[in-house]
Amino acid sequence: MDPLTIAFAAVGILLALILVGLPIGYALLGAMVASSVLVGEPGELLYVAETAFQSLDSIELVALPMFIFMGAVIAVSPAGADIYSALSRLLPVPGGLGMSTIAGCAMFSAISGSSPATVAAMGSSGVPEMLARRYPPGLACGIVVGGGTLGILIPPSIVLLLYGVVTKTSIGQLFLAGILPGLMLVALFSIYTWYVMWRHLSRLSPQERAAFEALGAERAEAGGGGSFRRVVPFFALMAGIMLALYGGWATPSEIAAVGATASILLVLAIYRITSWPVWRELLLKTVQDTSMILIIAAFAYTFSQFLAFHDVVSAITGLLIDAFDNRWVTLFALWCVMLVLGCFLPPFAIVVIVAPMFLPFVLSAGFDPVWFGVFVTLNMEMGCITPPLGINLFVVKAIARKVEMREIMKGSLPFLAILALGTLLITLFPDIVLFLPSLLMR
Amino acid sequence: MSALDHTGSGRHEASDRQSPRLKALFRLRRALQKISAVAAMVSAFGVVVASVVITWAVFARGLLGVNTVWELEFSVYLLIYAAFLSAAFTDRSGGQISVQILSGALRGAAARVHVAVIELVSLCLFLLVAYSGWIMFLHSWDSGWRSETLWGPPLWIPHLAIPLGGSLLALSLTVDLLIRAFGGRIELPAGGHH
Amino acid sequence: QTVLRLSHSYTDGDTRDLWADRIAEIVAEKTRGAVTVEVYPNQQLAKARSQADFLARDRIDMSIYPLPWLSGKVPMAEIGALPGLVATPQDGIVWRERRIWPMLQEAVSEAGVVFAGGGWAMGTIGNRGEAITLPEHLDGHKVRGLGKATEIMMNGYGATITSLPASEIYQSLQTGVLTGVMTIYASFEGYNLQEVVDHLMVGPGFVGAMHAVLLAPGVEEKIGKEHYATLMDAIAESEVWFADRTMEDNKRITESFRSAGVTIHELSQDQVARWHEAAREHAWAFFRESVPNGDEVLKAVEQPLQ
Ligand code: NA
Ligand code: NA
Repeated sequence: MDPLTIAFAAVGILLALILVGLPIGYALLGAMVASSVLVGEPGELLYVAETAFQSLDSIELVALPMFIFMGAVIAVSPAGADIYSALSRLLPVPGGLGMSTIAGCAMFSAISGSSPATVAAMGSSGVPEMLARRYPPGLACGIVVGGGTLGILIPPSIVLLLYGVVTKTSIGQLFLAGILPGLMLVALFSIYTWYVMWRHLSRLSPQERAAFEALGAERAEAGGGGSFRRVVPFFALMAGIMLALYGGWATPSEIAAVGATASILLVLAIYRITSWPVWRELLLKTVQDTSMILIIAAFAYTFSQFLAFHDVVSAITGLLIDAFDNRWVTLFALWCVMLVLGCFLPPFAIVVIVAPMFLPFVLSAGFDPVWFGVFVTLNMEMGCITPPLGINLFVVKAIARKVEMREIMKGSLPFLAILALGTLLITLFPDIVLFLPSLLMR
Repeated sequence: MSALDHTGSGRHEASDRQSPRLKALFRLRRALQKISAVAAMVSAFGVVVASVVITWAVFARGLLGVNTVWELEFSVYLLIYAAFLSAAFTDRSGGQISVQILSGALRGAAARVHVAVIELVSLCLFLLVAYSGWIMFLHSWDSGWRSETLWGPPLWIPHLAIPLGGSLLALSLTVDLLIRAFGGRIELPAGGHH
Repeated sequence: QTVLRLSHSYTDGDTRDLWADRIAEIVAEKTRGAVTVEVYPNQQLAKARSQADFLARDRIDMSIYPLPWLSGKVPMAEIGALPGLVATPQDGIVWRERRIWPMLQEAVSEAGVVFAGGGWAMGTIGNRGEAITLPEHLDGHKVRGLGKATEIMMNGYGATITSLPASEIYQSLQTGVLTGVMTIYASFEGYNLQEVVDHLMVGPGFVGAMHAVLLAPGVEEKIGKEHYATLMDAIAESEVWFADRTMEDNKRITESFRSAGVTIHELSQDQVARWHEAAREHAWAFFRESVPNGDEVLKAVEQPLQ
C-alpha cells in the first residue's frame, strides 16, 4: 500500500473510533492496531507496551503532572478569589471590572498550565460579581471563557509543554515565546471589553447609569479592605518560582515540581486547608488527569510511530508542499484542519497527534518551530471555545447556571474572533512570538 | 465532575431478585473498585513524592553541592506508574475523555448496547496492552537489563507498571461486561468534557 | 533491489548524518544499486535510545548509535565513553586490529544487535567562571558528563554531578544550574553553547564518544552473504572518512567559538597527561569495578589481533 492510502485509512479509522465514543487515548491505540492488521503486520502489536513505555520514559514529561498538580492545589485555595478581589478595585473606567477579570486570568495563567482550570478559578468569583454589577450576561461569561484560554498560552502551559516534547523543541523557548502573544491578547480582550461596556453605558439613561456606577462602588466597598495583603503569598509563590528558574536553581523540568511543592506548602500553611476530603479529591483529580493525558500521549506516540514507519509523514509533507504551491495557503489549510479538529478534540490530544505530522512541512516551508508552537496553541485556545467540545464553555456554564448556553456562546464569539485576529497578527509579525526567546535564549 | 462520584455504584446491584452469579460478580466488582481506588491513591502519592524528591534535589544541589543523579529518573518511573496504575480508576470513574455525540443521542437499549460495545473494544485493547506488557516485563526480568544511567536500576521495575495497570483495567472491564451480559445494571459517571 | 533503513537521532546535516549518507553512497556504489541504504535522521522512526530495541527486533536495519547507551544491557559498552583511551578519532580506527574488537562484537551481540563498526567523536569540557584546564579545577563546579565514567571522574575531583536532559543544557548553563559540561564538539555547536560558556579546552583530547554502527540481526539474511560482506567493508571504509571529517569539524567549531568570544585553552602535552592520569585513577577504576573482566577489556585495547 502506498503511504497516502495508509494515511487515509489510519486517520479515517482514528476519527471513526473517536466519533463513536471510544476514549481518545484508546482510539489512538485502536487505530494503530487496526491499521497494523490492515497492512499485514500484526506481529508488531506485541510491542505496543514497549512503545508506550518508551514514549513516557522522558524527563521532559515530568513537568506535566506537576503542573496539573500545582494547578489543582492552587484551585482549591482562595487564591483566585483573592487575586480577583484585589484587582477588581483597580480600574475605574467602563468595563474596569471586566478588564480586571482578564488581567486576573492572565495572572492566574502564570501559575496554571490549563485553560479550564483558569476559567474555573477566575470565573467562580468573576462571573457572579460581573452579573451582580449588571454586566450583560453574555459579555460576563465571554470574558471568562476568553480570558481562560490564556492558561495554555502564558507559561506554564500543558499544550506548549507537550508540543515541545513531541517536536523536540526547547520548552524553555516555547514558554518564553508564549508571553508576548499572551499580553497582546490581554490587551485585545481588554480593548474589546472596554468598547462594549462604553457602548452599553452610553445607551443607558443618566439615572440608570448613575445606578450602575453606585452599584459598582457599593460592591467594591463591600468587597472589603486588606485584599491586597491576601495576594501577597500568591505573588511570593510566583516570585519564588521565577527566582528558582532564572536564578540558577532549577531546570525547566524541575521547576514544575518545585512549584507544586511550594503550592502544597502555601495551601497548607497560609490558607490552612487541611481537610482530608479536600485533599483526597484533589489528589484523585490530579491522578485522573495525569493518567488520561499520559495515556493519550503514550498511544498517540504509538500511532504516530506507525505512520512514520510507513513513510506517511514524509508523504503528507510532500502532499502539503505540492498541494497549494504556496506556503501561506498551506498554512491556512492547516489552520482550518486544526480548527475543525478543535471542535471535537481536547487541545493536548490534537497537539500530540498533529504536531509531529505537520512539523516537517513547517520546517521545510521555512517557518520557525517555536513560532509554530505558539501558532498551534492559539488555535487550541480557539478549540477551548468552539462547540460541541468547548471545555471553557462548559466550565462557565457550571458556574453561571442561570445563563443560557446560547447566551454564553454568543458572548464568547467575539473572543473567538479576537483569537483569530491574534493568529493573524503573529503570522504577519512573527517577532511578537520570537522576540523574547531570541533576546533571552537561542 | 467529582473524581469520587463513581463510588456511588450501589443502587441497582444488591437486590434479592439477583441471581447468585450476579451477586458474586457485584462483590468482585466492589473489591476491584476498592483495589483501583487504592491504586489511584498510591499513584497520587507517587506524584507528591516525585514533586518533593525533585524539590529536595534542587535545594540539595544548590545549597550543599549534592549530586543529583537519580531524582529525575526516579520521578519519571513514578509517573509512569501513576499513569497506568490509576488507569482502571480513571476509566471506571469517567476520567477518560471521549466525544459524546453518539452516546448523547442514544436512549434505552441502544444506549446500553453502545456502552457495552465501547467497553468490549476497550477490553480487547487493554488485553493487548497487558499481554504485550507482560512480555516486555518478562524480557527485562530474564535479561537483567538495567537503565544505562549512573543510577542504573533494573528495567523490570519501571516496566512492571504497564502490565500491572493494564491487567487491572482489563479485569475491571471484564467483570463489568459479565455483569451486563447476565442482565445486571451498572451506572457509570459520564466521561466527556473535562 | 533491497532497501535497508538506517535510523539515527541527529539533525539533517550533522556530521553523523553525513556519515550515514556516506555509508549509503559507498554501499550503492559497491553493490551497483542492489542494496540501497535509506537514511532516516532526527529520530523519525524511533526515539533516540530505543533505536537499539527496534534493531533487535529487525524493525529497522541499521543505526548510528552511541555505544555507551548500550551499557545498561552490556556493561562493557561503557568503554565507548571511557576517558583516557583515545586522543584523536584516528586512535580509534586501529581498534579493528586489536583484541578489543572481537570482544566488543561478542558483547554487543548480547543486546541482540550486530556491532559492525564505529567512529569516535571527541569530547571536551566547556565552562563558565574560572577556566577548567586541569582536573583540580573541577572542584566546586556543577557539571553534566559524557556518560557514567566521566561523571565518576569529575565527581572524584570535587564536581557536583547534575543529571538533566540534553535539551536543557543550554538554559542550565545560562542560569547557572550547570557551570560546566563535558560533551562532544558537535553538541557544543548544536546546542549553541558558545553563547553560554566562557572557556573551552581544545587540543589533543582525552575523551571521545564512540558512535557504533549497529545492524539488525536479520540484515545478513535479508541481503545475502555477498552483499553483507560488501556492507561490512563499506562501513569500515566510511570510518576513515568520519575520523577525518570530525577532526576538521572540531577545528571549525573551535574557531567559531573563538570568534564568538569564548576563551580557547590549547592543552599542552603535560596537561593532557594529567587528564589521562585522572581518567585512570577514577574512571578506569569504576570501569574495572562495574564491568566483569574489566581489566582484561582494558588490556585488550592495546593487544594486537593474532
Ligand atoms: Na499558563
Ligand atoms: Na472545541
